[in-house]
Amino acid sequence: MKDHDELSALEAELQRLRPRALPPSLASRLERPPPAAPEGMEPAAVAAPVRVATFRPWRWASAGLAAALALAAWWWLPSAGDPPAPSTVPALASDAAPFKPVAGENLLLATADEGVVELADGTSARRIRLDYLDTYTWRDDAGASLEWSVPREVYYYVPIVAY
Amino acid sequence: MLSSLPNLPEATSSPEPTWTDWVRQHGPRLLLLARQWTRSASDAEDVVQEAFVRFWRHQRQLPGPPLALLATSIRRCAWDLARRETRRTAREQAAVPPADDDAWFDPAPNAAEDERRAALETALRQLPDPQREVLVLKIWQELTFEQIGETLGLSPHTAASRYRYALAALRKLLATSAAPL
Repeated sequence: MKDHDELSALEAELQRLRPRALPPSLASRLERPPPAAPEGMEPAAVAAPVRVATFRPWRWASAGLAAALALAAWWWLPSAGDPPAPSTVPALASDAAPFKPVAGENLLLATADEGVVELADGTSARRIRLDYLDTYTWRDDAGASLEWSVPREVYYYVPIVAY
Repeated sequence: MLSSLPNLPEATSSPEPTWTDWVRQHGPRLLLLARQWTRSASDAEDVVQEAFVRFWRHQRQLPGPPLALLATSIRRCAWDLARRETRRTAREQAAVPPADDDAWFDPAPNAAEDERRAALETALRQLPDPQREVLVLKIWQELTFEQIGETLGLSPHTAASRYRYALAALRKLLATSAAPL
């Protein structure tokens, strides 16, 4: 019992110790906004967690739509080995040209500085993530178009040199 | 961007706590925590700054107590720094003089209490690292044993055991230092 009381008293004594106040230099560093992201990345770096989360749900929808369109195109367009299409099939099957790529776009949605990581060779590097949305469009001679959007993440590793 | 922090209700008594309020209130205890895993006061300051930035950018919207998340972030930043530091040479370390202002706690208001504060701090520094980090997380971060376990990768039972061992070891160290030669 005495042992327990002594430890409780010591615990209370420790709780009365106040951690040293922040040095003025650190306080001023912390009270400023976090360091800016690399040039050209500032706005997205701040918004990254929210923007990435909002775009993710529909990437599956776009991928599914693209897959459905691709399947439909494969189903309706004849390949070289296919037998001649029956006469009831519209002219599309006999003389339609294949889809041709007409547009491509890489949209940078967000960037984020993920901090310092250790590489396989033991060195340290700062990892920067960029979230892109790649969109490609194909069109055939009849004016039908196929659009494919897919998210893509790119990581850059910036070496850190300690002096 | 340094506006209100709705996820930090206990941060301050103000209904609209700001980043600045929160840093001022919790910064000292987080600096103390960082000091447990760093070699110098300046390293601890760098770790706290990096952990705050990581927290703000990546973790502030996560559920859970922010102090526990920050404790984890500080530990990871300290590890990152330690890995970088180990690649420096012993010559560089030897060239760095010990900091004069490396006290962990504020001075006490009178001489007798300050002497006791110094004795406690000296004893704390002599504790084994695994015991000391649990003690700091419990006493000054006010984490539960479950949160300490999550932060350190331990079971809550192990965290509680280390805490009791730390108090007992501290008491022994204080008794030894107070004993007449």
